[in-house]
Amino acid sequence: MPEQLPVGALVYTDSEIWTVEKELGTGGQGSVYKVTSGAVSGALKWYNHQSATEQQKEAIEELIQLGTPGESYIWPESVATLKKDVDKGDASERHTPHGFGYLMPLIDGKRFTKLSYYFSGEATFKTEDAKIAACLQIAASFHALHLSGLCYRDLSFANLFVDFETGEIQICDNDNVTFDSLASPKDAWGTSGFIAPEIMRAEAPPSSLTDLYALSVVLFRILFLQHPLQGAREYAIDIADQDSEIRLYGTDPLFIYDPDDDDNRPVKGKKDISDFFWNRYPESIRQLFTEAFTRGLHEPHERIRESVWIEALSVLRAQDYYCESCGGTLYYDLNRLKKGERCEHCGRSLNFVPPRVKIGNRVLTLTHCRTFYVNQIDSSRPLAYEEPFAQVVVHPKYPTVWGLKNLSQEFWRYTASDGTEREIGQGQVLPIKNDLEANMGGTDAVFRIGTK
Amino acid sequence: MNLERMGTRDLHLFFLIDASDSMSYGGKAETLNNAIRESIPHIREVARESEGGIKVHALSFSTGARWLVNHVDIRDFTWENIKTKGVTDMGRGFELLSEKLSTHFQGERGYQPVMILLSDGMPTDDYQKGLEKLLATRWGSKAIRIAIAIGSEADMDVLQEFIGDSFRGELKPLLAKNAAELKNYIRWASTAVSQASINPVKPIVPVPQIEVEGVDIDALEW
Ligand SMILES: [Zn+2]
Repeated sequence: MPEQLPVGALVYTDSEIWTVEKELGTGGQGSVYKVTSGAVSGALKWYNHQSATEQQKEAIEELIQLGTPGESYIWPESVATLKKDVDKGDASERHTPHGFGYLMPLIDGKRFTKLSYYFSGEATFKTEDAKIAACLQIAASFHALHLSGLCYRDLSFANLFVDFETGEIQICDNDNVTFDSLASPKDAWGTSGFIAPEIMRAEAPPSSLTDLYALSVVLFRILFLQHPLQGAREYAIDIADQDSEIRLYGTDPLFIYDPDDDDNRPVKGKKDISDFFWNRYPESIRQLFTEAFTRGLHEPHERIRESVWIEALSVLRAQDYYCESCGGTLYYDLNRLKKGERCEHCGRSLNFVPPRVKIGNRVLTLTHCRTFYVNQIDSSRPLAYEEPFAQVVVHPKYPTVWGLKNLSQEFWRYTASDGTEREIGQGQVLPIKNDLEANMGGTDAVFRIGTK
Repeated sequence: MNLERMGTRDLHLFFLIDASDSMSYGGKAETLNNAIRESIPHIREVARESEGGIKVHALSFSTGARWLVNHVDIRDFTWENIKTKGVTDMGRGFELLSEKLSTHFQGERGYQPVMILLSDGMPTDDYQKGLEKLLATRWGSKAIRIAIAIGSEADMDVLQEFIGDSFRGELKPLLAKNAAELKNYIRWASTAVSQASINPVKPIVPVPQIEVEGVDIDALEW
């Protein structure tokens, strides 16, 4: 069988003949090609000799049967072979070594870029909101995958593609997805830095719990850039090899911001990019990551679940505001304001408290372009992160008068200045005033306007 | 915010190239020049996807040894044709490399360096002395050492000695019997092996075997 397909080679799926147009990339298990059939384009993964096993083929067929867990997955669509008759003969003929691959949708290269490029500075999120949106989508995609009883095994930046303008994501290399029931540590798989400690120590096979570890690493790195375990200990290694990786990520892992052990802090001026970001996110986010990389390192069952990430990231998405002096994006954190800390962008002290709404113990900021989603307001629905609930609107005649437009189907109630009880239905606007108390579909909220 | 403070590490990629007289026969030098040039975009792609950069170094040995490329970022790397002349002072090549490793690499951080030795013949000097010096340096001993024989005249035992037990003793010298194989091996060594160094917990991607249609490999002479 050929290891690599030449341009112009023909491959067959059940209903189509595809022509190889060009190689898009080569990885450990084979190469990916752009292929066309008439006016239709697709991507073909073609396995190398070592990986083109009957077992792999059956796994692909099973994934095709199951169907995609969500929109963001570049999921296998059909098995491809070099000869049309390979599958038609008796069972023994199926073992003829012709090789195989599978067809999947082609990623729109104009929109989506490998997440890896973000870490070399080659690509960057257009807005802070796009960055959080990407985190949210990654967490939600893995939530869907795990709900289907599957695990991904090899989450890393190489198989995540991002639209850096909007934060939309695509997940590729799904042929390693498997049922969440691998028994042997021999099924170990993964990319350095994303592999859970118990896999590094060869104690456990990949599972949805080790996916949760990889997910926490991906989220941490998108927000803080630095690897959560790469501090002084990593910096001290001159030549990184398998042994040093096993120590760093397996037998001796330590979070760079571990509250009880400062042995692995970022190295000042050398490897400390995370210090720029660590304090800019609210305490609740720092706590979640601290839990993920302290308890979560050692107790797989205590790792932060996707639903918790989804809720926390959604709330974070509604806590940003702009620095009065420089316009840089800041996150609302009352402690920072009380301490009179400085803006990380311009260095001026933070003395502006943005307009905000308090719901339970959650404070969300009001910015002129804010849309609130259901799970930001209603804590009984933590996964409703895409369902719009309300939108900040500016009065067309009086730009300093803001209101909140009801996008939900529930009625909101508040008491107007004249003492009358008023109702706000879908599409109507609640006028925002300082100290306004409103009930928004069963949730009590208190509004505060911005103050210096 | 300054991306420098990511504190990433580089991958150092070394080419050790036989530029003895015999390399000028049968288009070997031309194929080698071509193969390295063709590998560049693929090495760049590996670098784009990894943390830190890839730095290229190349030396040639014939009568004596000399640096051709010194610490060049793969993004800026271009390849000049090698000039062939003289004997095969491979040992001097190892020595030249060990001198650099024991001076310029003090305090450097990196992945396991990848060293690719390409030769078509037998060493004419005391290669063992040079190899000992190379392996006595920290960077030389930690390197993933690959050896490619260009044609069947190369001394496979010497190449195996160079490889030693690097990469868990899993590596053997590769014998390139024709131009297509040489290109294939150089691309593999500079990309798949670089990836294995950057990501040491994954198994190394095997060398892809290739068939050249319409060519009787056994009838080829190099
Ligand atoms: Zn500022």
